[in-house]
Amino acid sequence: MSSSIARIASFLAMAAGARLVAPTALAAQEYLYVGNSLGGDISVISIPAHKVVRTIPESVVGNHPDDVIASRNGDVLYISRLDVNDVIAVSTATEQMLWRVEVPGVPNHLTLSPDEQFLYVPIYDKGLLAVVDTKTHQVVTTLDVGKGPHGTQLGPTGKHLYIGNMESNDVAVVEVGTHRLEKRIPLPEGVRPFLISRDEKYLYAQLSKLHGFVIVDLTSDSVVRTVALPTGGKKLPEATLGMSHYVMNHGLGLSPDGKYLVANGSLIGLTAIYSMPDLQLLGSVPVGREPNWVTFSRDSKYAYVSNRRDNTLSVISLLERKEVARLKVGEFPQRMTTTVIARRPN
Amino acid sequence: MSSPAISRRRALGVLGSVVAWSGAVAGAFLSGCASVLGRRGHPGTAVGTLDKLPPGSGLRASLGGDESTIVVNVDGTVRAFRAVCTHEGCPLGWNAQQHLIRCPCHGGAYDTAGRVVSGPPPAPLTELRAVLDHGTIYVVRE
Repeated sequence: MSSSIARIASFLAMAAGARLVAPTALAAQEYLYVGNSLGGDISVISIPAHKVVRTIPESVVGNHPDDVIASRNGDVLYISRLDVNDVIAVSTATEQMLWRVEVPGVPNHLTLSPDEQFLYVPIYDKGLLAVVDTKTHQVVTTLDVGKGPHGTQLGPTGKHLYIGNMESNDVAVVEVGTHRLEKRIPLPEGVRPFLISRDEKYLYAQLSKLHGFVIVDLTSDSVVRTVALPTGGKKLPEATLGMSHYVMNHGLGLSPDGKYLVANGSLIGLTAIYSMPDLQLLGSVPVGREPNWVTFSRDSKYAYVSNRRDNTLSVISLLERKEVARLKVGEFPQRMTTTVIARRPN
Repeated sequence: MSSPAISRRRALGVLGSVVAWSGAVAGAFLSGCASVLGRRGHPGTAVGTLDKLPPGSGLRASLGGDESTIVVNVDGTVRAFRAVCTHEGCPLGWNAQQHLIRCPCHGGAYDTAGRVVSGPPPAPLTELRAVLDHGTIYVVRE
């Protein structure tokens, strides 16, 4: 009798121990992964509860992560790391590194190809786009795209990749099937976050020294409209090096349902919400200091804004057009992504 | 009222005790600190202690408000820099593996003398005055 009890106790203890390390299968749930660039870790936030449930630690990430994106099935996070010129793949189920690949310079904002075979990595300090094969974990090609390549976006047709260049003030367009540079579209200033309209006729871009964004007609490759962001009654502060004022606005997103365009006013800590496609200003929402990025819940109910100067995340209800929560995250939160996953560590 | 010369001797005496206690501060650093320690009180912000900053290490610390500093110990000499990237003003971090000061925005890198090593920064870092007193490191905002 006592030996049976001991065996059962032993089994339960083993099971409990196994649960500490093995991922748990869950009903598929959506999470937000926030890259904390100075802290070197990633905050994991449950949706729609909007609670910080875990942190992927610096021992896994580290080295000043720049971007974090997810595979479309939510199994893998791809993270570009500024200090060590690489991209790492991290399992969302175990939150451990799967593999890493060195790239030929400082990597910035990542994009996956439509079939997810390739990861597009702009190399800021070399003026290159590096193409990484996600199966072999190798850089398969690089191409010159302009000076200071920073952001990347896949066009909705999946045929074109757009790269925003901060220093040569243009957008490079690369043909996805051949990895060939098609053209470069000149813009008035350094290109910051941008997005492509769902019909791929227009490009919306934030520029280094513009409190607003421009709209580029992709058939004529020319700026057709400049939209000034609201100021919320505030006077725009003078540019000073101490407050990152050389980038006036950072963070531009289109909600998954295509109904809202959300643009950060980084200088004055607000986020503006526009209706799409008519681009009417619906409202502006005060957020934290130096909002840096925008992403959305998949049901388009919420927009998430990382506030890098006060280490917070603003949760904005798009329907109500107000901030419904502000969460403390890690140090200097910047890029982030949402994804639905079925397994994560206990 | 003590003369400047006496103040300097007193200051050197205090610093000598600090050196004996810590055993890690170089002579060049001592002479640089002497005039500061002759003042009453500390003109700077305490950012850490020398025993937590052995040679070859660095740290990032707040100076209050939005200001922060990177403090490094290079072979016993403590130096401090304004932790603001000269590229776009992003706050800087210390990479302990690389012994470099790094920018989390566009990857700029500075060495422990504040010189640009790589990336887009156009100018070296602004150096701040570091002062040691009884094992505590103070950084003076100029």
